[in-house]
Amino acid sequence: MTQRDDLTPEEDREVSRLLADAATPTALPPDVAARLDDQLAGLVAERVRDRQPRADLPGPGDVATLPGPAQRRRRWPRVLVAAAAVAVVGYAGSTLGWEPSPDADQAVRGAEDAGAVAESQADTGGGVLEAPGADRAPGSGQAESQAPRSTREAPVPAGVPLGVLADVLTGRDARLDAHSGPGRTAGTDCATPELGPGDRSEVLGPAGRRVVLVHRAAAAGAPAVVTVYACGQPHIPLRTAFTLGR
Amino acid sequence: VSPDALEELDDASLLAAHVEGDDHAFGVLFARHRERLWAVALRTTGDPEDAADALQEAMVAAFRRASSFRGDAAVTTWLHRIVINACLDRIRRRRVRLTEPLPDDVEEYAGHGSTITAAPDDPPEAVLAGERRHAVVAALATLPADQRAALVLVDMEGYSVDEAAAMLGCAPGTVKSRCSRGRARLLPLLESYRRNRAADAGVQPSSAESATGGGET
Repeated sequence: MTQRDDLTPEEDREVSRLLADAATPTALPPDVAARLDDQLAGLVAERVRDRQPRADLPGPGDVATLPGPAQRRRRWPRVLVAAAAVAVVGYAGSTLGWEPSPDADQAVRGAEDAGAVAESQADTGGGVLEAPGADRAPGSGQAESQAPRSTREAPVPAGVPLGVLADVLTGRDARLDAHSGPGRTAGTDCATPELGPGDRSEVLGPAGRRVVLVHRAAAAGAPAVVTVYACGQPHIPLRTAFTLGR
Repeated sequence: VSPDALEELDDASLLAAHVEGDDHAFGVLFARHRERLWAVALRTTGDPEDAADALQEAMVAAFRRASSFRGDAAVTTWLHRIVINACLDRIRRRRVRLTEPLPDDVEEYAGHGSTITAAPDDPPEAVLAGERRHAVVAALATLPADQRAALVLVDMEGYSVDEAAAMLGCAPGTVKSRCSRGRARLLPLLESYRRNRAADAGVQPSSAESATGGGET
């Protein structure tokens, strides 16, 4: 028997017919159909399972909620106030003659808690945020004893929002105005160029030392910042407060 | 989409519904075509077990890769292509692991009956037809897989050359060539059946060998 590569058209058709005749209907056997059905059910179940959120992975329903604009604004002071509080604890004593407190660690913890307070204030419409832990840090009892109880009448430096100074210079931070006399100095001795841009106001701080408050305008999306510097030491911020929405 | 509504959808819509997450759409789609896909798989592999395995593999692949369907061919063409590829893969794997020879002895039993067991009360025509079908399938199994797939689609399933080309992922000219070469290889294996068939039809077989008095029974 030999094989020819060049079939006549008729031979070609005849082989085709034989093939077509052999193509009798072939029903899918029941056992094969059952296999396919089982497999398909497994695929569907697998797919449904994949769609369900896993306990150890965030699913569609567990997506962490990103902070909205208001929350982001509140978070700024939370972070910055905490940092400022630590700075105050570290430098305030040596700069202004305060005694370091053995409760410095507690102050840091307080600074960490400041965010929660700040958020609370922001939620209630408070415009000024600062770190209460920092307030208490350098031996609060001693500071309290040295500070006059009524400091709310302290003069308000020009160029600084009233709300900022109401917190910075009043009972919550009595040390700054422990020797409040005139409260505000007319001079510009502390207005050194190193402080950079911003509205500046000089006030008398503890032990009659002069400090300067620098109010820097808010960058887009960030709070305005009021920083208190020891006069003559413009690189050491003593205190920082923040204003929202500026 | 409710199951009743799914039945009303065309193939492309069913596949799209499956991709979009409907859990029943693919089942409706596959049920619509699985009988014919089974036939293709059975004839391409020539073995019911292999055909079942290939069809199952193909179904899983189509289920999981439905999103890769680009819509530039009919869904049924796409399904056939997946099934045929699964069959061809299976044939290749089988050849690799095969320890017994392929049925190259088809020539010997081509003209000497069949291994099909006929029921005692089957009419003679039915028995002969069964033998012929078996011989054709056995002869088909001796062809290279690409020729076999082309002949299954064109000659046995009745798809056009263009449709078969789309299913096989090749040019129509390639399908024609594979069919021609496949038929040429089948002709000597099926010569006796061709003669019988021609005799039954009352015509002379149109073989060059017959015309010259050659040929073989």
